[in-house]
Amino acid sequence: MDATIKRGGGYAKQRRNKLLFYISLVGLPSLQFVIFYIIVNFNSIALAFQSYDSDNAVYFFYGFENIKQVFVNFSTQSFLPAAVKNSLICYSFTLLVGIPLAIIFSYYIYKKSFFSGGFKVFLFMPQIVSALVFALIFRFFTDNAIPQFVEMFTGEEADGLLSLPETRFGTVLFYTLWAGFGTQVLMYSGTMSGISDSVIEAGQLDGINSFQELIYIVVPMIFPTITTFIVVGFSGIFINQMNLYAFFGTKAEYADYTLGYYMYSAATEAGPAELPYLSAFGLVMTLFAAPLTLGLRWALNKLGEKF
Amino acid sequence: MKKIQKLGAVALAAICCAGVFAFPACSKQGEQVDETKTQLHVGTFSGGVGYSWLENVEKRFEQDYANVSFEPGKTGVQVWIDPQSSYSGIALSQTMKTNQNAVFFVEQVYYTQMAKSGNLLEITDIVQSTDREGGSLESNILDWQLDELKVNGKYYALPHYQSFTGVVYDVDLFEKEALYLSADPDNGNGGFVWDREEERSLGPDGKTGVDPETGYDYSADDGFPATYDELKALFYYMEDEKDITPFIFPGQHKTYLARLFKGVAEAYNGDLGMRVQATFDSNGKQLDIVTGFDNNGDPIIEQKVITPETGYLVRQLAGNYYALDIVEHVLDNEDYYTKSSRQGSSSQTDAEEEYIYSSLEGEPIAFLLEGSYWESEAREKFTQSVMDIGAKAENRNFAFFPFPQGGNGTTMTDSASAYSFINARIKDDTNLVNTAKEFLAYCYQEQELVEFTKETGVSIGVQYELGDVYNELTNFQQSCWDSSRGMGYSALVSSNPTYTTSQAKFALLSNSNYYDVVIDSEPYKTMYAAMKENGKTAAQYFQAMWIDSGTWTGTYYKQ
Repeated sequence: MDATIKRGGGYAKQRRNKLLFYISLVGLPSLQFVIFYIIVNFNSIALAFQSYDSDNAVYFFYGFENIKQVFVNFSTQSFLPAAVKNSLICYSFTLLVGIPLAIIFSYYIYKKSFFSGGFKVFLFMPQIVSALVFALIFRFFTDNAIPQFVEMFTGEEADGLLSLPETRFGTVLFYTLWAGFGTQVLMYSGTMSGISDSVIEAGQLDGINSFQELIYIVVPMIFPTITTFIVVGFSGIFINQMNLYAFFGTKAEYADYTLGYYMYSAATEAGPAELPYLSAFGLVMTLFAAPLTLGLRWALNKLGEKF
Repeated sequence: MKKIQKLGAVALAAICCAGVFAFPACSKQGEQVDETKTQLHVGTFSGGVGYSWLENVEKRFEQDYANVSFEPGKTGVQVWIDPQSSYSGIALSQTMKTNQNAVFFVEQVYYTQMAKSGNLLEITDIVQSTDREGGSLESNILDWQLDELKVNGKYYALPHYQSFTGVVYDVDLFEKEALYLSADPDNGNGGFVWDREEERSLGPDGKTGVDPETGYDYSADDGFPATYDELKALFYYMEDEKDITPFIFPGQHKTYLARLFKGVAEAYNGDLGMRVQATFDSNGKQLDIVTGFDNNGDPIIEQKVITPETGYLVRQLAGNYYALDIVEHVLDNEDYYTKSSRQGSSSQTDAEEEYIYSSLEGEPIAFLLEGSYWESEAREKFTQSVMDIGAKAENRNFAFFPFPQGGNGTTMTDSASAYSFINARIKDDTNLVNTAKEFLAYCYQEQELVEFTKETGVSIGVQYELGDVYNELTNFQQSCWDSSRGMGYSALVSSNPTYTTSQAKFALLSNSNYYDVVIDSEPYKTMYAAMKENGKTAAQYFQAMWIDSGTWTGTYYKQ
């Protein structure tokens, strides 16, 4: 009898301890999620329907006026449609150029080919060094070193790539791709290293070459990771500021704006009167981005099932 | 090999962890809290004029109040300084209520909004106290400043340091190369003096000699351009005849061109014409307003009174047009500014260094677009230049350039929006409130104001005399002091509701939206992008800045 009670007590204690362990493990992250996501975003969403009374320094309910103003501004402020275009260019470039290149480099590293370790260092460098420092180094290279090279070889004076309006956007786009490359390569090569050797060996026994191995074995095996990058990238179309802030602070030219940069730089300089409009702007972007992101995820998951 | 790798990994990990244990930037690294003393925390913006001046105040205050008790059981005060780059702008107003600091010295804040939102403790008693040597602070602050500082008839802050931006010129270079206009425009040298001995023109103020009544020396600007044609001729003369590059500005911050704009506009618009851009009220006085352009492209100017209802006219001030015209003229001539001014990698400190060394190394640059604090910022570069070049680099002489005037006198406008105040968070702690007020009042004693200027070379927006300390300032700092105290200074801030509601639109600051325009449906953020990169004219830019009466009434005007 005693033994039974003891067992029962021990079981309850074990459950209680497990529960305590579980709570201590997830409690803090949950609390952080509640405070820094739910409460903060709730405040932001509420702000979208408010306006600021500067005389009394209080916010008051303003209905859908801020939301309306966002749509009005899209038709009257020409930089906003241009910013949408730039945001889409940035995502398309990352999708069509960045991801394939990252997969190829990851495969090269995965196969431990010549100088793959060196490539690793070069590609991960932007992730190791502070973003601002790296942008500074890059800027020095594009605006000091390159003009000097041009002068050395052509004898003609040249301006830097970030100083010329014709090359500025393309240069920042290239930097964005490069700066984001490391994370992708790290993830892809990590996933590739998890592919069973026997699968690769089976392919090799069937006589496939490296290209076929990449296309028919590696890519399908890492497809969930590719899906993640595509979906996460898509959800961030409207918040990607394309490193413009690192290069130009809040003074990037309108022609180079992305929607993410617009919101980021505007929020940096906004007073209490401007914050409701920016909240409404963010809300409208979410209304567009959320269903499209979920739709894309669904489509990619369907595609993934075929592999 | 593995051992070395392990050691390397441990070293890297140690470096990463070092940051966690590093002492935060504060004035008393390693010092323990003395429980027998009242603790006072003071936050300050770490940029701008820095905070070594505040560390000196801290030492003097602690010494002077070593035997004073602000709370039962404690004697003396222990002051802790908390310098942060985030203590400026909107960021501070969002975190004030949870900030431990009782007193703040900050810049670029929306003062009126902070006061109205209850972030600041009322300090009317400090401002009006007559115990202060030299009279109450209220009696030593200019009327327009008092108007701006009053919120519902009460004071919540004091003016902190002043920052004047404009066009710095190398006085030594001007003297050496005799870059002055002659009293005789037909002297055979294009109107420029042949040598330093030749009689100079009357300059922008149109007068010379010393006023026997006021003692003001009108000859200080003799030989400088009095018209915009003369100014353009000077640029040409420098570049073409003297092989001098007229301008340098940081390519990384092309917004610094706003300093050229502001310098020209201040000289034409005068004090009233600048102040009205924040008050929207010319107090019944007429100002030069551009109402259009004639067939030759010249501005049509009419005299108009500006009222809050017609505040949109501030965007049509003639001085602003002439300023844009000069900016366009400079940008149209690539030889008028250095190559580094185009390069995005050139920072403001790079520009300062290039400017300091330019005339010493035989590639002179005449003008630097900067602020009154620039010599403090470039202190190390000056020291280095003396080590590199020798005695020739000592005692350099710079000053703000006097531009042609429009008949309203000239002015200097403070663009720091710097204030000091007490955090309202401490309002229920009477002992701490008393300590904080005592400390703030201490900082504004006549002697402390002088010490501040001695340490930083920069003035505080309160009236005080420097005495012998004046002679310890550099030539440039003396020039700033003389100019601001002589011709008067103003700031482009006001408590006008239209202004406080749309401060980002109307604040004439390099980083505000003041310069945002749309020309031919294309938006531009800087004069450089519109004029240099896209060939837009000053007239186009100017007209794009205008606000029509309907938009003014519907969007901006607040009663």
